[in-house]
Amino acid sequence: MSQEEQRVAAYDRGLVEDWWRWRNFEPGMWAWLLHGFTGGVILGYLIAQIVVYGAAYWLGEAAVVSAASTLGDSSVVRVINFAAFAAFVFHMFNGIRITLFDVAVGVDVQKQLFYACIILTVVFVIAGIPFFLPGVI
Amino acid sequence: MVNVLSTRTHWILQRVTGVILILVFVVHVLLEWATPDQAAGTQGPVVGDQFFEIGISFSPLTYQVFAIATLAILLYHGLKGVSNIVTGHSRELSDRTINLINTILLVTGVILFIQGVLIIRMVAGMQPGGL
Repeated sequence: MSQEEQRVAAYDRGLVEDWWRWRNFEPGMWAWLLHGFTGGVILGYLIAQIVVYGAAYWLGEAAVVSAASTLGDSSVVRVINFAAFAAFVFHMFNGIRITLFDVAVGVDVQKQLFYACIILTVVFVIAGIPFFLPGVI
Repeated sequence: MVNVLSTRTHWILQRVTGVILILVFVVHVLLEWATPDQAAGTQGPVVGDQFFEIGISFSPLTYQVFAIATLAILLYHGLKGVSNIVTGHSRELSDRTINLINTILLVTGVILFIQGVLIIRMVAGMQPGGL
């Protein structure tokens, strides 16, 4: 095997279709996956807001006020807000972790920093329950 | 069309916008906590729509500048993040496909931004002394 083939083989992490390979994931891989997933959740939440209020916008001012009132009173929407908050918190802490790596800080303890991100996210999410779900829980 | 800025500039902007969004998040949470709830007439957790609760705590112009800047930064950070995931980790994609994906994301971002600005301006106009 040539040097180039060995280099490529070293980076071979299997096929996406190989479902069970997640059991071999290191914390860094979970961090990467969770960062993308939470980023997608936040972006989806933003787009949903623009689409809903945008639809109401074209129906007039009264429709926007009505949409705001209806959504504000909805328990389902509060739970969605809370989920977006949880996604944001993890994305934020992991984003700080990634930025630290960019300036060569904490690379040696990247696994521990990932666990710290998880713990901080759990703490913030629990602290956010009375704030985001005052009438739900 | 979408490669006006260099990869390095996009990389820096992605980090800078991320840091700005953290600061915006902190301000947003503090304002929500400090804004009197219009329905309940109380201070504390907002019951009702946060979009409007926050809006009325600013002057219309300040609110618009803050909201529109946040919208632009959010859309850039988010859509560039999608672009990074889709194009940066797919070695099978051709340059043409990558350009197509980036163009679709750019157009989507512009449409969402315009719609967002229209909503923000409408909300600002609803406030006392609105524009």
